[in-house]
Amino acid sequence: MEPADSSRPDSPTEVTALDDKELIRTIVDGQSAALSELYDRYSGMLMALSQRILHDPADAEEVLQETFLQVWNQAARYDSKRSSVSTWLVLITRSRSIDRLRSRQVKLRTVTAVTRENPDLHTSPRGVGNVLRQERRRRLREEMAKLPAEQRQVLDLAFYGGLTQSEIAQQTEIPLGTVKTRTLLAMKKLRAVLRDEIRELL
Amino acid sequence: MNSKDNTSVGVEDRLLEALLERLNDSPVPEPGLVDQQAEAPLREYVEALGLMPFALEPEIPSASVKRRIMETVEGGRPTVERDEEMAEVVQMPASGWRRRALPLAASLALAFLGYSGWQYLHLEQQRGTIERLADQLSEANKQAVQLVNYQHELERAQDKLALVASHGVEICPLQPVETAQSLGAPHGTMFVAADRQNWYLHVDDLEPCPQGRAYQLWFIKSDGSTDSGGILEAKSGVCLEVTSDEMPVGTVAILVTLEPAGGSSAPSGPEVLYGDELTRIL
Repeated sequence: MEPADSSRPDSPTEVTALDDKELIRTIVDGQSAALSELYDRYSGMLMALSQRILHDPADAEEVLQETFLQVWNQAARYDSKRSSVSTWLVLITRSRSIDRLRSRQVKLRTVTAVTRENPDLHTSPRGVGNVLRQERRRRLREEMAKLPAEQRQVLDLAFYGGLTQSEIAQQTEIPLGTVKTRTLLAMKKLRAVLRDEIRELL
Repeated sequence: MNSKDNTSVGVEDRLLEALLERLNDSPVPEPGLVDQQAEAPLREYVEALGLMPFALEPEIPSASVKRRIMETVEGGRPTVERDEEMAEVVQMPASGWRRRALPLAASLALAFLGYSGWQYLHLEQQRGTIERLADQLSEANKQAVQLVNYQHELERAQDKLALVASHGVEICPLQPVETAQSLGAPHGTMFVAADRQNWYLHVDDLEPCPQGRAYQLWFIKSDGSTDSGGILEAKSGVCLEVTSDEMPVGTVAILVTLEPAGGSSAPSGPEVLYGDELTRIL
């Protein structure tokens, strides 16, 4: 964690201008407005991630709440050398969701797949940030769609299903070596095609 | 590739394998645990994973989630405040207990007498409420099923849109073939993704199939052989849409023919639609 900057913004208006890392530093200083801003930026994506894993909006909301409380309590542990802020948030949310999935044996509910509101109307009040996120989403969807179906399948099972390579092999009845090869290929392709986005984050 | 490159690729693969194996534990290694040269690619793989959920359609959590978070972090504990108010209410009668004992006893007696009647009315109301809620629940379930269906339709439409608007997509217009004029003037377009596997076919004005016959889609390959793309079901007044992620390697043309019901192993009936001009548009 980098040393705290002495000139911290203290109003919600000012925190909107901060980048993610600055927001984390401001959270370390105990400014709740920074946490609120971070929530506005990422809650929609993190909620979608948790819901994709848990298939249960109520559980996903609980995970979201736990994630941001963990961020509030452990912001000082964030290490920008290890990951970007968004990836840190994704890994916390994913880990908590998968823990919950495994411990609770979540029941699928009928209303799981229902999109309740038009997300773009609510995700962020700031146009530019929102447009950038939409652009990132569009590009990622494109790139994910380009992955061969069998590679996308193993990557989805590993990332969203929380399955180990052996579990994927067992579930899909594909040899373990093939699963490993497909996952490696998928990851390499993703890294290659998302190079620009990754550099933006680093 | 020289041996040094081979070595670094091998190390990178092993690191990536380790990252995937540890995905459910702690995928990001502590700084300094891995070789400095390998840290950069490993970090990029971690970021690639972190980007994956950005492809998902955002889901907006209830407003209460943020409210609860902010109440907790700002130290606002409304439940405690309510407890304090309750404590004040409880303390009031305790201070004047002896002075108010008689009126309180009378009130309790009256309350007890009215209790049975009230209980009966209350149970009746509850029964009515339960019946009403059961009806509402039944209606809500129906709507939920309908919404799920809409959601699936929306997802299918989004997939089609993603394919049609994807980088490197190719289009192949399908024109009616003269030999099948009696089948109207159908026309269509096949969109083929850059991976040459995913495709989306859209056909307008295709007449419903005559009794005992079936429309069949064919992929014609560069060596002249054909692979079946399946049976197409045309309905009157409705455009026909098909998507798939399987297209034979070497496909150079698309053909729709009229075959016996159940389809054929090779094109044998009248040709209905044909297209062989794949054009890249994006």
